[in-house]
Amino acid sequence: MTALQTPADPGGAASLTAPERWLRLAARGAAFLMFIAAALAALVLVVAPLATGSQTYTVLTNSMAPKYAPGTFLVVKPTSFASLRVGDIITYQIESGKPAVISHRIVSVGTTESGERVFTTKGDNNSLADAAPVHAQQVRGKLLYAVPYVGLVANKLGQTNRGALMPLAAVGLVGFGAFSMAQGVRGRKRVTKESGQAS
Amino acid sequence: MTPPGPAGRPGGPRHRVAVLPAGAVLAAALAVLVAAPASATDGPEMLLSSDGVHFTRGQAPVIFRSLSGMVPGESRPGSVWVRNGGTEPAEIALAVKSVGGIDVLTESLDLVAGSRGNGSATVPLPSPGSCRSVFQGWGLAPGETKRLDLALGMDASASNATRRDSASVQLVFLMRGTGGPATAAACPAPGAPADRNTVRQAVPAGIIAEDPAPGSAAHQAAAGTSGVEPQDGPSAERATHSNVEGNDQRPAQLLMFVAGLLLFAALRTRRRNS
Repeated sequence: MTALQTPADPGGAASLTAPERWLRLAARGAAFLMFIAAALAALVLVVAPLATGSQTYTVLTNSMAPKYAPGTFLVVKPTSFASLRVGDIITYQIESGKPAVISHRIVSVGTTESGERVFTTKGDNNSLADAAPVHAQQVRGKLLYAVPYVGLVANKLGQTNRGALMPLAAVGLVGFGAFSMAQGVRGRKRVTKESGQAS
Repeated sequence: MTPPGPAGRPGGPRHRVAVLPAGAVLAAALAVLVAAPASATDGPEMLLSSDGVHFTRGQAPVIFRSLSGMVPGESRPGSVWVRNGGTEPAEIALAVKSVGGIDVLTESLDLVAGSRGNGSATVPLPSPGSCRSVFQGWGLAPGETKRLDLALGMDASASNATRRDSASVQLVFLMRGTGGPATAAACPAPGAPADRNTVRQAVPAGIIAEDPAPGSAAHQAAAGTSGVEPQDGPSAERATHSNVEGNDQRPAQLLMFVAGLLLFAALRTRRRNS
């Protein structure tokens, strides 16, 4: 490879030794995989809930284990009460209007004396059904999908006032930006230098 | 080789000198062999196992895989195999003894013990410091093994005061030989003399009521600190048994936006360089 060809190859891949070339290839592969993983995570954890108007939750207890163990990330989409069926996992307020919520499976559908449709719910890992029937106004939505393990991370990330992950992520992003800029400047300098040498 | 035997058997008198020590060794060995079962029959031999295959004497088997993070309405199963390692029929009994914890938690817990052919028995856990009999008088033939299916359940109506609390209990197994008293409860009677016909084995178990993930809003609510979700009300209102916690997605969305911008800038710089 001649110096004249270098400007078209600013990274200087052709001038690298074989191990350096392999190292670069591996680094590019790892970076690509990381990018794909990050893009997928962003799609599943942020974009899809945002697009579907869903609320995300983190499982805290073993009541729905083993399928939905503590730390599972739940995406719950608001669904009409009439479309809910036995077997669906719903998130409902323990008391209507109160923030405490439970995500359990519908095990039976009944009606009150006034003819109102109500659900009986139960945790998959619980031996007993939940004591009180669930009314329409309590239901926040139906489980759309769940991602194991990442719930605790998402939960930590959501705690802007306490979580240590936000500053870490911010430092990481700023560091990445600075690195990218430095790399760009270095690349430009190298190109200029090599062009000068060639001429 | 001279077979050990009485004097006068083939081998001649000159072999008697060699036969006598050999006979003495054999007699001693026989005495040891005979003495071992004799000491075992001094009392019943209770062997416990957590898998039905490996039995131990005097060692506490693991009965419940985990008793931490229990929530109201939940029950945790466990199994233990009891073998009568003695040569005489015996009876087994089980008791549960609370050795630590708070009343409100132990009162919310039930222990169920059952076995094929013996039905099942359910008892609420006793208050700390006391002992309660679960069952007694279940027969076990010599060498027979009985599987006991246990379950520790938490009352669905257990109050919030149980949250994050722990209780320490002992499952007291008792085996009574035929020579023992007519009735033998596993709870040791205070001041009662030691009975050679009964064997007791205590198996400890620690129960921890559901503890929200550290740092979670539910945890903070339980600890009496402020929450993080803007839509949430006062922290006291959240001291209920939520099994999920809402995530605030805004930081993640912001992070993704910034990451996207940086990625765009990096790609653009790279393109410009090339």
